[in-house]
Amino acid sequence: MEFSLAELDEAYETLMSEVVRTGVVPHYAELSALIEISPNEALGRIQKIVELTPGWMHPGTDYIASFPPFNNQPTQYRISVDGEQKWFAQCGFEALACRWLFPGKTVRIEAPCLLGGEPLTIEMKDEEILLVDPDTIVGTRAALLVVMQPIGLLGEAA
Amino acid sequence: MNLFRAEEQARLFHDWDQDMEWTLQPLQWWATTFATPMFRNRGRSDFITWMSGEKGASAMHELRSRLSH
Repeated sequence: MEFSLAELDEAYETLMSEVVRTGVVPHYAELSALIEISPNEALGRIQKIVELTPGWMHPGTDYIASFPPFNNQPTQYRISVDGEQKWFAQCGFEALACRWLFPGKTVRIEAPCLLGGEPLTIEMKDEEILLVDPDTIVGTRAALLVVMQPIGLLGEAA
Repeated sequence: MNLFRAEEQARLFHDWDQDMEWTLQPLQWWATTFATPMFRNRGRSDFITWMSGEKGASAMHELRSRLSH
């Protein structure tokens, strides 16, 4: 199934605006109703978007597991906006990018450290980093394949 | 792509890879990396078109450069 960039834009924007609003990336049947296309086409658009971006479907299903910077499947990176926690970030790094979807609002990241469970807390608002606790927080990764994934696929969009 | 309370905890993590030691960076460095245009523009109504065009390619180049070692 081929899609125009405008069709993919429409689906992507709807998925993103819904997850920003509700904390959940819509199922393809919900996307279908939201933009008035068939469920099959909605699923096809989602699958293409997932190919083009560093997200993924849960293996063997039609469920969106990850739609960066968010995750439908809960992770240890809990995101609160203006005190309300209903989002999960794809990973620790993508947690730092959630703020761009909530302009003018305070985005709080809370996670347990993977070594011992002691808390990490970060607050950001637009360009500002308001809180880093403890102030020694670091990030690391064994590989950077996920963020690099879209590079080779950009040319495939119809 | 995980955050740790401090460098020593990151080095003790079971998935620690000495070959990727250069990715061990302070939070501020990662916050700056994830503030590059590829991440800031996800709220656009034409994000896929933007990402697939020249500006998106430039943004990805910027990101790749920052993540190159």
